[in-house]
Parts: sequence; C-alpha cells; structure tokens
Amino acid sequence: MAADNDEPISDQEKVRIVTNFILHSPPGEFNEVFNDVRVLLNNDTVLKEEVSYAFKQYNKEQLTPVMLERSEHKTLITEHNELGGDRFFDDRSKQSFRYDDLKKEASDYLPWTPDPVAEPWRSALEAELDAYTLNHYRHGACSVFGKNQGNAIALIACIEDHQFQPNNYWNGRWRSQWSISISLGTAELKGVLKVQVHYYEDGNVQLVSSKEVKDTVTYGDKQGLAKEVLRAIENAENEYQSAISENYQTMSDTTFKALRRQLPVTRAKIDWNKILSYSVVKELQGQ
Amino acid sequence: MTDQQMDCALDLMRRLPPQQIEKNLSDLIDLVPSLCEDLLSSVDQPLKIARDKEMGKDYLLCDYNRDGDSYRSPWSNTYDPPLEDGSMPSERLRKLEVDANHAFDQYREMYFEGGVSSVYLWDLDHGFAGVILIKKAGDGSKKIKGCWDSIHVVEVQEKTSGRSAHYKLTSTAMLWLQTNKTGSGTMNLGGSLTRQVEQDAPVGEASPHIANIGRMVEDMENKIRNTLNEIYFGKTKDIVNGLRSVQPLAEQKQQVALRQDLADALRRRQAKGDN
Repeated sequence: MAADNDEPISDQEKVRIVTNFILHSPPGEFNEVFNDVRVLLNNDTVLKEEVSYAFKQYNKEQLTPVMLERSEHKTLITEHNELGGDRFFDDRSKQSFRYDDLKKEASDYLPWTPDPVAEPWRSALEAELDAYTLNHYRHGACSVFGKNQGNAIALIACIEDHQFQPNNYWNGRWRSQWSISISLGTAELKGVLKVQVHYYEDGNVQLVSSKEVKDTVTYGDKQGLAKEVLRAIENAENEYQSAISENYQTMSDTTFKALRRQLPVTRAKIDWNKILSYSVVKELQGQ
Repeated sequence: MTDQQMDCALDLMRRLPPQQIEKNLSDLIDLVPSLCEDLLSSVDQPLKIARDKEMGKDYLLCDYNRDGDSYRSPWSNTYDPPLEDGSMPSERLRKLEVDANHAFDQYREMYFEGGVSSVYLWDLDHGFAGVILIKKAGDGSKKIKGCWDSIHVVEVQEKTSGRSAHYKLTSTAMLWLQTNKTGSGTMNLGGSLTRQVEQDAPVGEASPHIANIGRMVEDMENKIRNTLNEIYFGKTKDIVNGLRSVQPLAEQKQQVALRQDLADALRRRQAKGDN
C-alpha cells in the first residue's frame, strides 16, 4: 500500500485507480460509481482527459444494448463493431452511428455496407440467433457481426440480457460472446459466458461467474451451419446455467451448513449463565 | 467536502465487487489519504489470523486491536510487534475481556465447531464497547472453498443505578464461496450483510454483561444466518434464472396457456353443475 510511506501518490496512479473502479461498476450502476469517483478524485480536468476512455471500454465490455432509428432490433456496443472516433456499425440495419458513452444514445447515422462475402452467412446465423434469444432470454438483445479475413470468414454472435431493479437494491446481467471461424465443412466455436448479480440491501453481495467453451461443428450449407451453431450454443449455455444451479444446491446443502450450524448439537440456544460459570470453573482449575 | 467524500467512499465500497475488498480499500486510501483512519474503522474487511506464540493460540486482527502497525493478542494481552506504550484496556475491563473471550470461545465451538474467535473491549465514558470476531474456513470438500467472518460491535451504556444498561449491537456477517469446475467455470459468490439492534437489559449476578451481550449476539447471528441463506441461495439464484431460462420460453407460455384452458374448462363445468 503506497500509504505506507507518507508520500501522496502521483496523478498517474490516481488515474489508474479511478479507471479500475469505473471498469468494475456492477451492471446498471455506472452512473453511481462515476459520481462517487468524481467526488473522490476532485479533478474534473484529469477525469475528462485521462479517464473518459474507460467509459467506452466499460460499455463495450458490458455488451451494452442501444436502440437505433430505422430498426426494430437493438444492437450491442462491443469491441467487434467499433469503428473508432466514437462510431460503431450495425450489420443488421446497414447503418453506422455515433455512440455517446454517458448519455448511452446513438446519433449521426450513416449508411453502412456489411462485408458482401460474409453477409449471407451472417444473416443466416442472425435469423437463428434471433429465434434462440427470444426463446431463452425474456428481455435479451443480440447481434451478429461478420468479418471477411481473406481466406476465412469469422462471425461474432453476442447476446445480452439484464434486469436493473435499484429500487429493490439489485441488478444483474448475462453476457454471451461466441466467435465462429468458418472453414470448408467445419466451423470452430469459441464462447465466453459471463453472469454478474449485485444485491445491496443493507449489505453488498455479488455473484461473479464466467466460463469458456470450445466446440466444433460440421455443416452442409449456410442454413445448416446456422442451425448447427445454434444447437451447439444452446447446449453449452444450458449446461453452464444448469451447472450454476447445481452449485447453488451444493453450496447451500453442504458448504454453508458446514460453516455454521443453525443451532448447537443440543438443539437449543446457549445457556449463557452456564457458559459463564463453566469458564470460572476452568479458571479455578488453573487451566 | 470530506463528509461528502466519506459518503461517496462508503457508497463505492457498497458497489464494487466485495471479492476485492482489500485491494479496493487500499486503493481508496491511496486516492484520498485524509480518509484513511475513518475508512479503516468503518469498512469491514475479511478477518486475518495471527499466532500468539507465547500462548500457542490464534487470534483475529481488526482495527480495534491495532495500534500503529502492531496488534494486541486477547490471550497474552501483549502487542506484536511489541509496543512500549500500546493502548490497553483498564484492569477491570481486561478481567471482563478475559471472561468474554472464554465465553465466546465456547459459543464459537458450539455453533461453528472449529474456527477462531477473539473479543476486544475498550473503555467509554459511561460504559464500555467491544468487538466480537469469529472466522471459520470450510474444508474445501465438494471442490467448493467457503469462509465465514463475523464482526459484532457492541456499545454498552451503563445506567447510573448500575442495575441496567443500554446495549447497541451492529453486526456484519461475511460469507465467501468460490468454485472452479468444468461445468460452471469460475463461480464466486461473496459479500456481507449488516444488521443493527438496540435493547435495554437488567445487569446483575443473574444477568451479567457478558450474558446479555451473548444472548444478543446469538439471536442476531441466527437471524443473519437465515437471511444469508435466503439472499445467497434464493435471491441471487432467482435473479440469474430471471436473466435466462433453460426451458424454452415458448414451452413455458404453452404450459401457462394450457393451465389457463384447464382452469377455464373447470369453471365452465362448475357453472353448468350449479345450474
């Protein structure tokens, strides 16, 4: 701890600390953490110049959903559809836009052309992903981005669902990120699944969980690939969620019980007067 | 300005993942050094264990038995590393502290069947205050690491008659559970809950201070244990299953619709029957 010597830390160190706090805001609580950090840093110039890049990084890491004009579907803010200069693209609605990290709004729309080689694969996968998301996520949003890497096509499928209930002192978010590398007849899948829940009525309790998945699928045509990929995604995500439920059961039945009993073996609360006389007896016996 | 900064610091500690409490607190103190003492005394951290080599017993560390960089053992009543002028309880209070440590040692054994406990008392103008600490680590079976930390701070205001006292108890229970398995990846469920209670109680031979405090701590811990159970294994689990459903939602809707149809059919049949 730098406070061991009495030297105050450098501005650069303060920036590192403040950035780290912001990046660790629980889902739905960025504004509160931002306000806290602003008061503690007490230097709006440094905040604006050195820390504001962290706002965008946070939004990308959270797969933040955003509503777009001329589109029924939201798109997600991610590292995979970032253009630079605050701009992002949406293959689905064929537009790019400017994203405001603090207002969390899109503006300044321009037409966007998805990669023509990747596009038929991308939209086939998107159709399957939409149906899957509707079927497993009550208020989820999803996006598929396509990239043509010369001799291979890569698709990135992202799913996000969140529930923010600050009036009940809790927030939660699920994030899925799947990279699909398409070769002839087979495709490699790499998935990263993340869950975070924060409960804070008279306390601070958080669940932070993540899992990495790898899989390979074989396919016949574009539609076939889309169906196979979604079958693999559904299996992997169901397995993860079921394993989480199983852990909850074991934690509650076994681990928690072994930490502290509900009552002593006597099945009655403690007789404190007896306890005190016992310790006096121990003293008299010179223990 | 510092009051607002303290409020923001405490709010931040309520939001940042509790799994990194120590690092977050350390960073916070680096960021606003003027808040150091206040933060150390008001932010609960997982308890650390130290060994009293003289008495061959473990004891727990917190801000209340700390003086500078040294900690006082409740068993030998000495500081480690040694201090010439370390803050000590009065003689009368030290006697009470010895009894309290023996009593809560037994409490710990009866409820926790293991672990470490420590009690530290300090004088107040019209009474005294104390902290009761308990730490219990799980054995890691079923590939799950678990740990429990209790921090009970009690304030005792003795009435002038000496025959009753006012007790104020602020209790924090921390619960940490971690697992790293193939099916569920890394799963880290941790944090703390805090509760407060106040009451008056008679003081005398039949109900000495330690008995009054013991009863309050026991009732409080039993309540918090139940709440931890509800929040950790009920509420947070429900939130996860509200984010995603393993069972296809279309199937669920079908089932709801089917139940509704059956309910309607039953009602119609009952209405016919009534006629």
